[in-house]
Amino acid sequence: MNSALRSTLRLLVVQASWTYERLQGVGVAFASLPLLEELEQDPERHRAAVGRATEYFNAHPYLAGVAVGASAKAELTGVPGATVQRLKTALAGPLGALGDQLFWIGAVPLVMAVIVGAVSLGGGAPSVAVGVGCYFVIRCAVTVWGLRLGLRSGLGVARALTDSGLQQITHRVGLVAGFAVATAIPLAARWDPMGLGRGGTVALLLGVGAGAVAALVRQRVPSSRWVTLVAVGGYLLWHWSTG
Amino acid sequence: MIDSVGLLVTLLAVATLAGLDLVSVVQSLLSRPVVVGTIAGWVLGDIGVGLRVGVVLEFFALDVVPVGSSRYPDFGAATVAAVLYSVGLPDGSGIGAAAAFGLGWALVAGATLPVTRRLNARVVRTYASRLAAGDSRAVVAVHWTCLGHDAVRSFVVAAFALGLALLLRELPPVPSDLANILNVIVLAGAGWAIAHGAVASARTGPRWRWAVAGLGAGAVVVAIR
Repeated sequence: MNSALRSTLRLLVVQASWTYERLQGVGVAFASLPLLEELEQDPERHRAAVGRATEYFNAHPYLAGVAVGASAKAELTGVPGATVQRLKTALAGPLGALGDQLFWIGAVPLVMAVIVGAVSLGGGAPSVAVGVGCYFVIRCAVTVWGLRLGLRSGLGVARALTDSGLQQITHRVGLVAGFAVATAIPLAARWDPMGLGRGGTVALLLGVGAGAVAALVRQRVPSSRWVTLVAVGGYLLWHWSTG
Repeated sequence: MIDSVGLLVTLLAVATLAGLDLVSVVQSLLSRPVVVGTIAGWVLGDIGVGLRVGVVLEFFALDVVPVGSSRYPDFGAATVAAVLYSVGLPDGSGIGAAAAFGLGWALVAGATLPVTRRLNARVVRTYASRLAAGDSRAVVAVHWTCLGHDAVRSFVVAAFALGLALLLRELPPVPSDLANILNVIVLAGAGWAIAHGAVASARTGPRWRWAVAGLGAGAVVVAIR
């Protein structure tokens, strides 16, 4: 197995050693080890590179490979350690923000909304399997792409990232995600997962209205999870206390 | 049917893997309620219940952005346990109660994540000098130990969730009038969650217009069907 493939597989577990002090630092070093093996002929350089790789770092886990690849390329080409560290520091913020926008606020809600919509329209388990399969392929492809981009670009990775068009894709995915999530609401209301008939539709839509208002007022409102659990608990207490 | 040890072991494995998927391993969609709920329903021979519990909890999950050090619920084992609780109950009557149980357990399970991270930090501090010295073996040892922490966390969370679901199944079924009220409350909460998630991320800019267009498109599809 070549070093890039081993590094890619390790990137799939990059967050396993996440801590509040170093965030993904140790995970990034773990993923970098196969790429840094070339330096083992020079133990001092190798140890210095591995030590730097363990330091504080955080990015979106799918895009951490960009930093892993770029910093490994820089280490292999003899770039000074301080410059490698600055490169990682400079990449962390953009890779985190871009990944959060693209995946956590874009692709994941998009795929889940499409699955919910498809299930609501009678797609059943196959629609879940197709959605999950497609997302898994994209997730792995992004990791492979990111690592290759980093390894190819080294110190020039920021420019390569800008030229990749990822920001434009992120913007478009966000728009489509907004569309898909909103589309899923009436479809799920019609599907009626609780079997409540018209009452269920009314309940869901009332909840939708309240949630929209809560988001629009921009004040600190308890989360939907706590509101629901408190309402359920309160009703159960009232129900049992009144016999 | 649910007394089968093989079935429970399978559910335990699914729930544990879902817990690992949340942060440590791959981070695909296995930890999402609608996905793991469907799998649990399939294992238990009732995909329909798995889908319905999964979709309701998915609405709550869509209101969560699992970013870095933020605290977020862990829906994996919670959804499996909710499906286990509701399978075999009279049609639709247990979905609300199951979802409420799943929601509560997701918050409990989410609270175990910081514990794992503190344990990880302890390991990192133990190995700090070797990490700083660039010892590759120390890096590998720390990483696998931390992965082990999350595996144990996910397993324990899953085992307790399934045990609790089995205990709840021993109780008399929720009376239909109470079940209906719980269904209404949970469904309204699910609506709150999905709208809050959608509006919070689409409050400004063109995404807002796309969301309104999506709402209209969904309404048109419903009207046509």
